[in-house]
Amino acid sequence: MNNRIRELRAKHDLSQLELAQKVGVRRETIVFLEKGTYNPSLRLAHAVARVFNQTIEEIFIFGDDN
Amino acid sequence: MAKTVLMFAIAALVLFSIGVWLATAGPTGNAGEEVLMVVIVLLLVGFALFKGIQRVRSLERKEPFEDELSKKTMTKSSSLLLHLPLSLAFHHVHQRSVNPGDAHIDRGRDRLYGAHISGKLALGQNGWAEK
Repeated sequence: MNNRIRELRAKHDLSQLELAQKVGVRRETIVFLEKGTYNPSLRLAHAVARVFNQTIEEIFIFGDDN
Repeated sequence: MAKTVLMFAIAALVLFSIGVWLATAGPTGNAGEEVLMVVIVLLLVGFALFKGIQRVRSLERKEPFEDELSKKTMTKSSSLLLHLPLSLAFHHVHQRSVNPGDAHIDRGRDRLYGAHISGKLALGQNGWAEK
Protein backbone atom coordinates (compact mmCIF):
# COMPACT_ATOMS: atom_id res chain seq x y z
CA MET A 1 0.00 0.00 0.00
CA ASN A 2 1.37 3.41 -1.00
CA ASN A 3 0.47 6.73 0.54
CA ARG A 4 0.82 10.46 -0.10
CA ILE A 5 1.66 11.48 3.46
CA ARG A 6 5.12 12.89 2.66
CA GLU A 7 3.73 14.90 -0.27
CA LEU A 8 0.77 16.27 1.73
CA ARG A 9 2.95 17.01 4.73
CA ALA A 10 5.24 19.13 2.54
CA LYS A 11 2.23 20.84 0.99
CA HIS A 12 0.86 21.75 4.45
CA ASP A 13 4.35 22.69 5.68
CA LEU A 14 4.19 20.20 8.55
CA SER A 15 7.16 18.43 10.09
CA GLN A 16 6.97 14.74 10.95
CA LEU A 17 6.85 15.65 14.64
CA GLU A 18 4.04 18.16 14.13
CA LEU A 19 1.98 15.62 12.21
CA ALA A 20 2.70 13.00 14.87
CA GLN A 21 1.48 15.36 17.59
CA LYS A 22 -1.67 16.19 15.63
CA VAL A 23 -2.66 12.54 15.16
CA GLY A 24 -1.42 11.38 18.57
CA VAL A 25 1.37 8.99 17.62
CA ARG A 26 5.16 8.92 17.95
CA ARG A 27 7.35 10.54 15.25
CA GLU A 28 8.83 7.13 14.39
CA THR A 29 5.37 5.91 13.39
CA ILE A 30 5.11 8.74 10.83
CA VAL A 31 8.57 7.78 9.51
CA PHE A 32 7.46 4.15 9.03
CA LEU A 33 4.17 5.27 7.49
CA GLU A 34 5.94 7.45 4.94
CA LYS A 35 8.33 4.64 4.05
CA GLY A 36 5.32 2.39 3.48
CA THR A 37 6.65 -0.24 5.88
CA TYR A 38 3.73 0.11 8.29
CA ASN A 39 0.03 -0.10 7.51
CA PRO A 40 -1.90 2.12 9.92
CA SER A 41 -5.05 1.20 11.80
CA LEU A 42 -8.32 2.59 10.47
CA ARG A 43 -8.36 5.03 13.41
CA LEU A 44 -4.90 6.41 12.53
CA ALA A 45 -5.67 6.54 8.80
CA HIS A 46 -8.81 8.51 9.62
CA ALA A 47 -6.87 10.90 11.88
CA VAL A 48 -4.28 11.54 9.14
CA ALA A 49 -7.03 12.11 6.57
CA ARG A 50 -8.71 14.64 8.87
CA VAL A 51 -5.46 16.59 9.33
CA PHE A 52 -5.09 16.96 5.56
CA ASN A 53 -8.85 17.42 5.04
CA GLN A 54 -9.00 14.55 2.57
CA THR A 55 -10.56 11.09 2.45
CA ILE A 56 -8.64 7.98 3.44
CA GLU A 57 -8.77 6.72 -0.17
CA GLU A 58 -7.15 9.93 -1.42
CA ILE A 59 -4.17 9.45 0.90
CA PHE A 60 -3.74 5.69 1.13
CA ILE A 61 -3.57 4.00 -2.27
CA PHE A 62 -4.31 0.31 -2.39
CA GLY A 63 -2.68 -1.72 -5.18
CA ASP A 64 -4.41 -4.36 -7.28
CA ASP A 65 -2.85 -7.14 -5.20
CA ASN A 66 -4.78 -5.90 -2.15
CA MET B 1 -2.68 5.59 38.33
CA ALA B 2 -3.52 1.87 38.24
CA LYS B 3 -1.15 1.40 35.30
CA THR B 4 1.67 3.13 37.15
CA VAL B 5 1.16 0.91 40.21
CA LEU B 6 1.07 -2.16 37.95
CA MET B 7 4.27 -1.04 36.20
CA PHE B 8 6.10 -0.65 39.51
CA ALA B 9 4.78 -4.02 40.71
CA ILE B 10 6.04 -5.70 37.53
CA ALA B 11 9.39 -3.91 37.78
CA ALA B 12 9.74 -5.03 41.42
CA LEU B 13 8.87 -8.63 40.48
CA VAL B 14 11.39 -8.64 37.64
CA LEU B 15 14.14 -7.19 39.87
CA PHE B 16 13.29 -9.76 42.57
CA SER B 17 13.41 -12.57 39.99
CA ILE B 18 16.79 -11.39 38.72
CA GLY B 19 18.06 -11.19 42.31
CA VAL B 20 16.89 -14.73 43.08
CA TRP B 21 18.27 -15.98 39.80
CA LEU B 22 21.70 -14.45 40.35
CA ALA B 23 21.80 -15.62 44.00
CA THR B 24 20.85 -19.22 43.26
CA ALA B 25 22.47 -19.79 39.87
CA GLY B 26 26.02 -20.13 41.19
CA PRO B 27 29.08 -20.99 39.14
CA THR B 28 28.45 -23.63 36.51
CA GLY B 29 32.08 -24.41 35.84
CA ASN B 30 31.46 -23.58 32.22
CA ALA B 31 32.72 -20.16 31.12
CA GLY B 32 30.41 -20.14 28.10
CA GLU B 33 27.29 -20.59 30.21
CA GLU B 34 28.35 -17.87 32.65
CA VAL B 35 29.01 -15.44 29.81
CA LEU B 36 25.55 -16.26 28.44
CA MET B 37 23.95 -15.42 31.81
CA VAL B 38 25.80 -12.10 32.02
CA VAL B 39 24.78 -11.29 28.45
CA ILE B 40 21.11 -11.99 29.32
CA VAL B 41 21.29 -9.64 32.33
CA LEU B 42 23.06 -6.95 30.26
CA LEU B 43 20.42 -7.28 27.54
CA LEU B 44 17.67 -6.86 30.14
CA VAL B 45 19.28 -3.79 31.66
CA GLY B 46 20.07 -2.37 28.21
CA PHE B 47 16.49 -2.93 27.04
CA ALA B 48 15.09 -1.23 30.15
CA LEU B 49 17.46 1.73 29.67
CA PHE B 50 16.57 1.99 25.99
CA LYS B 51 12.84 2.06 26.77
CA GLY B 52 13.40 4.59 29.55
CA ILE B 53 15.41 6.96 27.33
CA GLN B 54 12.83 6.54 24.56
CA ARG B 55 10.04 7.56 26.95
CA VAL B 56 11.93 10.60 28.23
CA ARG B 57 12.57 11.73 24.64
CA SER B 58 8.90 11.26 23.78
CA LEU B 59 7.96 13.31 26.82
CA GLU B 60 10.31 16.11 25.70
CA ARG B 61 8.76 16.09 22.22
CA LYS B 62 5.28 16.16 23.77
CA GLU B 63 4.28 13.01 21.90
CA PRO B 64 2.80 9.82 23.39
CA PHE B 65 5.45 7.33 24.51
CA GLU B 66 3.33 4.42 23.33
CA ASP B 67 1.27 4.17 20.17
CA GLU B 68 -0.14 1.48 17.91
CA LEU B 69 3.18 0.77 16.16
CA SER B 70 5.23 0.47 19.34
CA LYS B 71 2.56 -1.76 20.89
CA LYS B 72 2.56 -3.98 17.82
CA THR B 73 6.35 -4.22 17.93
CA MET B 74 6.23 -5.03 21.64
CA THR B 75 3.60 -7.72 21.11
CA LYS B 76 5.75 -9.38 18.45
CA SER B 77 8.84 -9.21 20.67
CA SER B 78 6.89 -10.64 23.60
CA SER B 79 5.55 -13.57 21.63
CA LEU B 80 9.03 -14.30 20.25
CA LEU B 81 10.56 -14.07 23.72
CA LEU B 82 7.91 -16.39 25.12
CA HIS B 83 8.99 -19.07 22.63
CA LEU B 84 12.51 -19.06 24.05
CA PRO B 85 11.78 -20.32 27.59
CA LEU B 86 9.07 -22.62 26.25
CA SER B 87 11.47 -24.22 23.77
CA LEU B 88 14.13 -24.56 26.47
CA ALA B 89 11.56 -26.10 28.85
CA PHE B 90 10.55 -28.70 26.26
CA HIS B 91 14.19 -29.41 25.48
CA HIS B 92 14.88 -29.83 29.19
CA VAL B 93 11.94 -32.23 29.64
CA HIS B 94 13.04 -34.18 26.58
CA GLN B 95 16.65 -34.48 27.77
CA ARG B 96 15.54 -35.63 31.18
CA SER B 97 13.33 -38.31 29.66
CA VAL B 98 16.10 -39.47 27.32
CA ASN B 99 18.88 -39.38 29.93
CA PRO B 100 17.31 -39.85 33.39
CA GLY B 101 19.80 -39.31 36.20
CA ASP B 102 22.21 -37.28 34.08
CA ALA B 103 23.28 -34.58 36.58
CA HIS B 104 24.65 -32.04 34.09
CA ILE B 105 21.17 -31.55 32.56
CA ASP B 106 20.08 -29.68 35.71
CA ARG B 107 22.51 -26.88 34.84
CA GLY B 108 20.21 -25.97 31.98
CA ARG B 109 17.71 -24.70 34.54
CA ASP B 110 19.70 -21.50 35.08
CA ARG B 111 19.45 -20.59 31.42
CA LEU B 112 15.79 -21.52 31.44
CA TYR B 113 15.04 -19.18 34.34
CA GLY B 114 17.05 -16.36 32.74
CA ALA B 115 15.22 -16.70 29.46
CA HIS B 116 11.90 -16.88 31.29
CA ILE B 117 12.66 -13.62 33.13
CA SER B 118 13.33 -11.92 29.77
CA GLY B 119 9.98 -13.12 28.48
CA LYS B 120 8.15 -12.00 31.60
CA LEU B 121 9.73 -8.57 31.41
CA ALA B 122 8.62 -8.01 27.83
CA LEU B 123 5.16 -9.46 28.43
CA GLY B 124 4.65 -7.39 31.55
CA GLN B 125 5.69 -4.21 29.82
CA ASN B 126 3.42 -4.98 26.90
CA GLY B 127 0.49 -5.76 29.18
CA TRP B 128 0.98 -2.48 30.98
CA ALA B 129 1.13 -0.48 27.77
CA GLU B 130 -1.97 -2.11 26.30
CA LYS B 131 -5.02 0.11 26.49
